[in-house]
Amino acid sequence: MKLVRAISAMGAAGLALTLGGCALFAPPYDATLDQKTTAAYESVAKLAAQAEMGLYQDKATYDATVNTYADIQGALAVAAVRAATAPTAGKRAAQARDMTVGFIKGCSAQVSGLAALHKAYGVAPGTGATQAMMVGCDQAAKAVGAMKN
Amino acid sequence: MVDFASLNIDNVDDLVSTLEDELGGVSTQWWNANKSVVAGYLRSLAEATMQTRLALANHQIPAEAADMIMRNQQLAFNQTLQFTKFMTLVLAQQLLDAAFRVIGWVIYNKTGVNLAPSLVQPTGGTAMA
Repeated sequence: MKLVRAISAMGAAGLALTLGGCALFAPPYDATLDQKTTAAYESVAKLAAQAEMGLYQDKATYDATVNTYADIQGALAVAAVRAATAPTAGKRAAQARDMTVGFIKGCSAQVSGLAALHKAYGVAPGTGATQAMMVGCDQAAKAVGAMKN
Repeated sequence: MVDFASLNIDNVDDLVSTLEDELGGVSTQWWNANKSVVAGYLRSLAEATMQTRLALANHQIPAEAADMIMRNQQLAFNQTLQFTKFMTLVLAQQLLDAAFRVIGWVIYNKTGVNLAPSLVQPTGGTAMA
């Protein structure tokens, strides 16, 4: 009788995996990853706002801003590592997970791009210099929150 | 078909419209399926492009800086194309979850067996056996 119950329980557990945990197309929502990525995105948005207000127009301001860039890059690196470990149940979900990691790294690349511009020429406001970074990081934040119910 | 040699765009709306026509021209099917995701990013690209063009024309930024800015825009738009693929996968997962949330509840409400614990999360109610 115990054996029958055990087999029955195992069957139910197997079905539960089939119906409940099936991240076939996209990884499940991860609240911690969402919080970390959103926090990094908020820092990016603040950086962009400061640039658009003319704070970084002079390239000499780069040295004093390096720590801000580094903090953002560190936060994005942590988020990327966490996103890369999301559980998946199939090739397409793994593809979606890898894309999410790619979006976070894309955000990071855009932050590096702005930093390079800042260092070389300064960031003149109203010259279209910050939008690409905002787009890249917006997509990263949307991707990690996409499966939130 | 755009006559590129005489392309003379001075405002964001015209640039958005031209970009939409071009993308739709490459693939109507792709554009119709993804325009709701892409439209906002396309406008952002158009706004930034007009800003960069103006700044370059007014010698507010050197050509090298404009080149860096446009390269970042190209990377961002490439990511936007990836993002449309990603959202298709997310939609498929949401459809799968929606269907099996219903099925999970149908089974749970009649048997008390929760076969989809990540989708069916009773809040203290008693299942009907």
